[in-house]
Amino acid sequence: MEPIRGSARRLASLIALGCLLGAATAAGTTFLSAAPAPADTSSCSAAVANVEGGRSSFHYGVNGEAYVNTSTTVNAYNDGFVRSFGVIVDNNNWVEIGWSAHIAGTTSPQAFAEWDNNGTPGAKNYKLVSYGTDPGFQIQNVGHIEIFRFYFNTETSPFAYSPTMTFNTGQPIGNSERHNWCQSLYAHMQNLADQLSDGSFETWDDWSWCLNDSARNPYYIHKDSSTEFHVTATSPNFTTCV
Amino acid sequence: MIGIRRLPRRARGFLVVAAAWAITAVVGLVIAGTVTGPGPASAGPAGHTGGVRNPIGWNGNLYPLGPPGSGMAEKTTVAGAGAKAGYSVPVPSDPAASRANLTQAWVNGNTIPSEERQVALVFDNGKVQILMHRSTYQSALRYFRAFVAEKDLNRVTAALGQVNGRPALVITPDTDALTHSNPATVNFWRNGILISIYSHTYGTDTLLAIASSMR
Repeated sequence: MEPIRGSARRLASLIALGCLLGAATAAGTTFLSAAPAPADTSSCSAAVANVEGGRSSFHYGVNGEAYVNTSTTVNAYNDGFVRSFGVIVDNNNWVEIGWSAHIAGTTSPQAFAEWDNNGTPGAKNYKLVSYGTDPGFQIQNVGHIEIFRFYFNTETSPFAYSPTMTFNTGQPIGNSERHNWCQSLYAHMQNLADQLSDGSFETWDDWSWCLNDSARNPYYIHKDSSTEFHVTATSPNFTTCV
Repeated sequence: MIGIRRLPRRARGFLVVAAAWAITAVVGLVIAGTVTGPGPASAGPAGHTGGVRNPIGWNGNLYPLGPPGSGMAEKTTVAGAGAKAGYSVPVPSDPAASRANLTQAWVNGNTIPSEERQVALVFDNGKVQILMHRSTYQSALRYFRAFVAEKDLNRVTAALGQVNGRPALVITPDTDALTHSNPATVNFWRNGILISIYSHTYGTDTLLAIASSMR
């Protein structure tokens, strides 16, 4: 009996040792995999925020290039991600052009045109854009007939036309927009210009209008010149924003 | 078991420890995974493609012409708005919108030429908004007809109606093809002004009653 009892005791000890090591492995794996997370991603949630720059005067169109963020940045949360330019009259009357991902039918970064005509929204998605590039966008109102044309890059033909709108002119803006508060609002807008009555384009000159509602995970707008601005996580805004 | 019997004693011990370790580790990880739930979504092209883009980064129901302090608009009174815009500003007298529940009046700032300045009246904390700007009758009528005719671009239920015997554009709420959440809208022309009434609360019948009551 003695050898059997000793053998059983030894077997139990070995199993206990194995269980101990297994438990340690499971606990270690669980905690180590959780520890290096850069943010508490489980609390990331839908929350729209915009950082915008523009002119408070009214113009017939807008022009600019909008940097396409890296794949890691754009796809970090699979939520709406927008960089755009617009001509805005009021909350129910505006036209917009730019690129977006994970929203309004877009998944990978894709050019789009959008408008709100008297409270009725409309949109057209266009070509995919490449990460790390600076595609160009332009909205023109030719002939002042309250119809806006949307141009992508150096293409000579518009890829979309707005319906007949109630306005000919509006405030030109550049817009960095996110739909999840954990997302980056980093943006680089350049070659900023607006359209004059004769159809020509001018720089944004002494523009100073800005809007920033990114209080949670804040980003800030930095004016580089009359034709360029950045949105970064470095405070402060270049001027007081609404 | 046959294999184990053939192994030396130390090797058999190692195998017992290894087996216990493996079983416990797997069970432990399964339990941990169940308790903590899935991790963050993996980066990749898939994701939410619904929702809408929106460059209006402020409360548009309360501040239709732009956020306070933006210079796009100034808060004022009805009389002040009329003086700055250069035209008489009509006000409704309907239970849904009247001077009694007028929340705010706004007019475009000095950066906008006076002939283009809009006036915005906000009623009942944004339940009804009335915007107006100068327009000729021909221009207003052309817009109404174009809106109804351009069905492929506007993709909403809209029709020509009347306000006090004059043509109007009436847009049914929540019927747009993109978001199904457009406001009820009534546009009509009156004394050189194109007036637009919007509401996410009331239907077109109420907006038509509001429009008819404007003096």
